[in-house]
Amino acid sequence: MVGRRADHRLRSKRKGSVFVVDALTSEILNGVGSFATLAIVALGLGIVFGLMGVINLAHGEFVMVGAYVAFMVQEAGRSHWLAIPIAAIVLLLLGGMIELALIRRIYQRPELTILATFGLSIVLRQLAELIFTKDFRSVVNPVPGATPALGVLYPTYRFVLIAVAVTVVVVTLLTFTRSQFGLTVQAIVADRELAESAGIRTSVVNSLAFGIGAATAGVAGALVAPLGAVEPQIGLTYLPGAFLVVIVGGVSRLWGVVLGAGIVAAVQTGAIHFADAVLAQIVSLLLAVVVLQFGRSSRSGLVA
Amino acid sequence: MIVIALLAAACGRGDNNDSDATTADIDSGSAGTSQDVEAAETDDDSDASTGPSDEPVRIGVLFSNSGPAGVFGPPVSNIGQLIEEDLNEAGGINGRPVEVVFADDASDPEVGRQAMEQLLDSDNVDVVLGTHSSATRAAAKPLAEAANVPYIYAALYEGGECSAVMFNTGEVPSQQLAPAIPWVMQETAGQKWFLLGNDYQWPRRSFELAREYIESIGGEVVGEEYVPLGTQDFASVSQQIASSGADLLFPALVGGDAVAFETQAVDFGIGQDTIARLANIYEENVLAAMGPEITAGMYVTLGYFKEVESEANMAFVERYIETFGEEAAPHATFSSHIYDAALLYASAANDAGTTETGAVIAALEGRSITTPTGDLTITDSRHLLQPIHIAEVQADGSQKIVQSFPAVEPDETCDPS
Repeated sequence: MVGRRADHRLRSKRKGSVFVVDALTSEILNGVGSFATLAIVALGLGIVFGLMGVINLAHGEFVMVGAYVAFMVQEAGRSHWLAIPIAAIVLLLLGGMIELALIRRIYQRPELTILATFGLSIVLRQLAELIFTKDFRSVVNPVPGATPALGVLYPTYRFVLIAVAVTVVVVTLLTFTRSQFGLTVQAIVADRELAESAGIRTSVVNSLAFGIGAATAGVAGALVAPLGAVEPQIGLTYLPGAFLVVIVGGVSRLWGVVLGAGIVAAVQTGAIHFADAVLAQIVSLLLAVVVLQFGRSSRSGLVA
Repeated sequence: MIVIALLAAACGRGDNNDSDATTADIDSGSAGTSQDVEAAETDDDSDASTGPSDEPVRIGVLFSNSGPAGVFGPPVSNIGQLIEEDLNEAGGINGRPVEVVFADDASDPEVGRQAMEQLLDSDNVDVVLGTHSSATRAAAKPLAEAANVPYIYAALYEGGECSAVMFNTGEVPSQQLAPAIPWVMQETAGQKWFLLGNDYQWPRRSFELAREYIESIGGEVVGEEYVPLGTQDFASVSQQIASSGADLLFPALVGGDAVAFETQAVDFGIGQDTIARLANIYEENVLAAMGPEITAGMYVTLGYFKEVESEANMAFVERYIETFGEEAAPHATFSSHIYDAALLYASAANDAGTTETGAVIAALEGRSITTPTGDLTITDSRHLLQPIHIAEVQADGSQKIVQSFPAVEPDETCDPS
C-alpha cells in the first residue's frame, strides 16, 4: 500500500514541482520506516498469538532485551552490525527457555497466558534494572548522517532499519508459510493431537516457534537502539503499537501483520502529515475501536 | 470472540501496567527507609535520648522514578540519604529524627494520585516534597489539601499554581525563559524559533509564555508542535522543523522523548550546528544519554547545575560523589530542588517549634535560607526567589556555566486565603 504510493510520487517527481514532492517523498519514507518498525515488532506477537494462542504481554520486554544486547555488544567494542544477529540468537534461546519453563504449562488457557506473561514482563524489567540500573544507555548510530536517495536527503540509518526489518519480516513469514517447518507448525495449529500421533514433536516445534517470535523482537530492539535511550522500560512504549497492528491486521493469516502494520503506519503518518502527532495517536486508537467494532465478521476465524 | 476482547484489554494495559513498577519502587523506597532508621538510631545515641519525642518526622518525596521522566529519579533517590544525614546531624526537626519516604508516580498522574494517597494515608508523612509532572501535581494536590499536609512542589514547571497547602519552589518560565530567551537570541543572532513539546500543560503553558518573550523582543515563532509523551519516532516532526526555516529550537520534551528526538533529529540535518537549542529540562542525566556529539553547544537554563562555583556547592558535590560513587547518576536540578525544599521545611518547622500544618506554612512564608544552590527566599506568591544559570554544553559533554543571574524574581501571584 505504502509502496504503491511511493511509486506514484516518484513518477510525479519527474514531471517537476520538486519541493512539494521532496517533502512528500520524505514523509512517505517516514511512513515506510514506521511500517517496518511496527511490522518487525508486531511480527513475533502475531506468531505466538496466531499459532500458539498465547497473548504475550512480555513481548515489549523482548524488544528491550534486544536493545540491551546492542548496548552490550557496543560496550564489548564490537560493531553494531554484529549486535543484530547476536540479539536474534540471544532472544531465540531466551524465548525457547521461557517456552519450556513457563508458556508450555498454560497452552489453551489464554487468560493464564496473559497473567503469566504480564508477570514475566515485570520480572524482565526488574532484572534489567538490577543489571543495568535505570540509567539511560545509548547505542551509537553506526552510520550517522543522511544519504541522498529518491531525490531527498534521508537518514542513512533509517534506510538500514527499513532494509533489515523488511528482510527479517519476509524471511520469517516465508519460513512459517512455505517451509517444512512452517507446514509442521500449521499441522500443530490445526490439530495438536493428530500432529503428535503423526510423529511431530510438538514440544520442540512450539519452543522453536516461540523462540523465533522472541528473536524477531530482539532484532527489532537492536535495530531501534541507536534511535533513542536504552532503558528498562522501553518495551512498554512498543507494545501498544504492536497490539494495534495485530488487532487491525488480524492473525488468521500471518501476513495480516504486514497488512496491519501498513494500515497503522499509513494512518499515523498521514495524520501527522496533515495534522499533528497528538491527532495521529487519537486516530490510530480510533482505528482499533473501529476494527474491533465492525471487523468482527471478517475476523471470525481469528479464535481458531 | 473472547480472544478479541482479551486483546483489547491487553492493549489498554500500557498505562495500567505502570502501577506494578510503582509497587516495586516503593519497596526500594522502604529499603532506603531502613537505612534511615539506622541513621535515626545513631542520632538518638548521640542525643542520649533527651529529645522530646522519638517519633520521626516523615518527609514524603513524590517523584518520577519510572516511565518517561524516570531518568530524573536516581539522583532524587540518592539525595534522600543526604537530607536525612544533614537534618539528623543538625539535631533533627524539633529534636525528632527525620526520615525520608519515597513514592514513585511512574510519570503517570493516576499512579501519582495513588502514590500521594500512600504517602498521606499509609506513611503518615508530615510534608510532601514533589518532583514530577504538572499532570501528577494536578492529580495529587486535592489529596494534600484534603489531608491538610504541606506540599512543596519543587520541580521546574509552567507557573500559576496556588493552593493553601502548597509552595512551588521550582523554576517558572519567568525565571528560566524571560532572561534566557533574549540572552540566547543575542548570543546566536537567531530570530526564528521552533517550539517542540510533549503534549501536556507544562509545555503548552511554557510555550504561551515563551511566545510572549520571543515576540516582545522582535523574534518570531515559525512553528509549534506537540507530541504525545512516550513518542519513539520523531521522523516527521524532525522534517517539519528542518523545513520551518527556524534557527532556534526550544524543546520541552521529557526524559526518553528528549533523547529519542535529539538522537534522531541530528540525522535529519537539524543538529546543534544548524538550529541552536535552548532547553530548560535537559539536565545532566538526559544530556549524558544523548552523548556529547549531539549535545555540544546546546544552551540549558536551570536553577542549579553541579558546576555552580561556590565552595558550599563544590563540597556538596564532592560529598555526593564520595557517598554514591563516580558512576552514580549525577546530582542535578531536580535532586537539588528536593534537597533545598527539605531544608526549607526543616528550617520552618524548627522555627515554628512544631510540625503542625498551619504553623509550618506560616513559617515558610517569606523564609530565606542559603544552601549549596545559593540564597533562596520564598516569595509572597509562594514561589522561590533563586539564582538562575545558563550553561553551554562543551565538546566533551560537560556543562559550563556561561551566564548567571544571582536572584531572579518569579513573576507569579498567589493569594490562597
